[in-house]
Amino acid sequence: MFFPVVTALYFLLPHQWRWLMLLIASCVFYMFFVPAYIFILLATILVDYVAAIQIEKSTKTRARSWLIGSIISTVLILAVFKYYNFFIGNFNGIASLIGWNYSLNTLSILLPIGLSFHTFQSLSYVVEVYRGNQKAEKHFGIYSLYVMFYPQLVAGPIERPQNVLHQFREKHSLNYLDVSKGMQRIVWGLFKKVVIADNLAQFVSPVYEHAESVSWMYLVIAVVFFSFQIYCDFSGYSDIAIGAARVMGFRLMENFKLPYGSTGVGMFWSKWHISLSTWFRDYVYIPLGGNRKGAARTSLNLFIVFAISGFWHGANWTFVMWGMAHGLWLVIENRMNVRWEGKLKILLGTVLTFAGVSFLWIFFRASSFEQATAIIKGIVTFQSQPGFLPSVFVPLNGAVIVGKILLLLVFVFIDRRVTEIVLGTRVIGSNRKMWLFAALLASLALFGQWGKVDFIYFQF
Amino acid sequence: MKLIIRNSLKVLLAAIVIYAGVIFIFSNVQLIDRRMSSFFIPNMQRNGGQELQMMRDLISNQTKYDAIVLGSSHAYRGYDPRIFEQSGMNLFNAGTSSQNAKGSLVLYNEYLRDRSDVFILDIYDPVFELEGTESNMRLIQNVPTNSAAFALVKQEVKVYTLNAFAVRMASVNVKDEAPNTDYIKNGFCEKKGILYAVEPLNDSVFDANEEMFVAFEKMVKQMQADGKRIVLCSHPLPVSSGLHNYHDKFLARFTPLIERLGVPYIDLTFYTEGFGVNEFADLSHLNQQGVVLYNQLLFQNTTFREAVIP
Repeated sequence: MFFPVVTALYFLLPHQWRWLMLLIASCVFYMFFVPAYIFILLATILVDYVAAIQIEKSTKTRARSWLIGSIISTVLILAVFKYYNFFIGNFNGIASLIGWNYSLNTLSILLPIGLSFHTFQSLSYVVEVYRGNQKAEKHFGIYSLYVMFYPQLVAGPIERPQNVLHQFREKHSLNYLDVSKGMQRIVWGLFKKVVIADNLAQFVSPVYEHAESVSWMYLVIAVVFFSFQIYCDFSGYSDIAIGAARVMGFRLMENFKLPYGSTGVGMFWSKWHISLSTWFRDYVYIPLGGNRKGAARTSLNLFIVFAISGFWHGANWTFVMWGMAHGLWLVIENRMNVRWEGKLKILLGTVLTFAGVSFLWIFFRASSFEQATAIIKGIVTFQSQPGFLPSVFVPLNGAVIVGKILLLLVFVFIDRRVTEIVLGTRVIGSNRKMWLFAALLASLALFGQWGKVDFIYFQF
Repeated sequence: MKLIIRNSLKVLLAAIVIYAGVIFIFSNVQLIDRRMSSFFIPNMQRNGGQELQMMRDLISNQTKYDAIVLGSSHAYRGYDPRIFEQSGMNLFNAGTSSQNAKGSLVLYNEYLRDRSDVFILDIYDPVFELEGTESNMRLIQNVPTNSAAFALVKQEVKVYTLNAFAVRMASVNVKDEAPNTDYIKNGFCEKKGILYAVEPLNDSVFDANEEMFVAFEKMVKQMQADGKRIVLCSHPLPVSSGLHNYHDKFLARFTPLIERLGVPYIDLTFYTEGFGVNEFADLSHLNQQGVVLYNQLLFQNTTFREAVIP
């Protein structure tokens, strides 16, 4: 109900009040989760708002101080709420290892939803103002809306100020093209989330929890399923966010471009979570020297960026390992300079890339190294069913698993086609399009999992 | 604006047509041993099994029973009409898989109200945690009348239950897809050996679904208003480390409710005398040997006798 009400209000209100209504709606949306955390968001907004204005009117040296101050304070918020317990846990571990009988207390706090996303969006604004690519926004409300715009508040895309800020001042009128394109995007996103991702999650979660109690076949299916689960979950959310904004006339950046069609990890990262990849490229990789300081330094920079990217995803060594493995893979790929030409080679490259990415997702999905190891060990040793299946598998009988595999195959078949139709790069007749989206809508009711399954990326 | 509304309606209408078409095909085309709906539609249950056999038994005659059992699989596998017969009682077991109070109440109102004056309600803690969607969907597929199926949908209006109702309505001449070979008579199924093991109740957290307690209270009050005699029973379970904790937490919520309702509860969950591994079919259910022992125990129990024997 939230989306139609906000959209209706947006078009009913006079232009000068729309930003305020969107800001209030975004606050309400954020406060659905943990209301008090709105103050954390407010602190980030306030710091970066003031810093950007000061950067703009200061000398180069003073501006640099403001930039550093802003970055430190914003990152500090992230460090406290997301990484404090991780650091304390590791500190305590090392302390006990060296026999130092002292341990620090961890905090029992929930991670504010979407913290990593709006922190990065806020940082990109300050850096762009410092670089002179963006004027400091004087209107506090408009700036707050840039950080808080509800469709992309909790899981991106991580926008750049040049793309979005000006749109909050533009007058959007209700028009057929925006509504139609936006709604198509929302339906496609919902299909990916509710029909594909959540159906696959129903199998993936128990297999990961009981990795030692299932056969290697179950483990392989779960690993492949998770590759599609996370893709459909996250790209589905991005589609919904981009679509919801589009209905109101806003254009957000694309976040995915069919990443599993990639023939290499480099290509994969140019198509997966694009707003984050380009963020790291612009604000970490290039400042580190990018590829301008020789091959060895380029490799090191890539590795550092991916390690940080892993850490950004979660305060757990499994995420760091996942990031570093991707970094290492990319370094090797760049050094080897493999070219996949010809249909057969492209197919081989695609399959190998998918297999590698899927393998590394094990570390991303597993809650610990032990769990990841159990899964890998189970697969490589062709683990047979060790005993009776845990009761959680009782509803997941053969028919249900076969049904999920067939649903996935249908998705693999239609993904490229529907994505291109939604993006407008493939044209089909209006009647065919109507039946296509009607079928997607009907699928939501027929095959959708309408339980309580959160979007995976909300936790970041 | 007109264009937006017109095209939205067109898409919606087309979606309804597709939905109806798919439901019809999935409800009538079989793959291997079951309809396509079982493969693809989430939580969809088969037409058949103990539920269907029990309902057929129930409506095949107009017998008035001395007592009727309601509850989950603990009910239809835990109260053997043949043993009750030996004590001169004509028992019908209307338990179904994971049956909760919402489902029980519909069965009571639609089919059971006039069939007995005594109701044995089997109590199994996890049923008070579940949402009960799958259990209700199984009943929606298998109850003999559309009015009962619709009443079950009304108990829980969800996409899933609406789909189950649509599949039911679209099904033409569906056979029993999963006959239960353990089915004996009057709703009872006999379990002989160990079919599969499930982990014991070692989760010490009882996560109450308040809706289920509310539904249970509503059902008992209605039965009481109809002048029915009620007794609550729980059969012994294999004792595990977490079971005490779990069941105690359930009782902390359940006991005040039944005291208020004034219904007797024969709780044998922790009863161990005579109940070893040979008396359980798995870690949650009695086998036939256990059922014999349990049913005998019930007849030795004064509260039970007073409640069920006129």
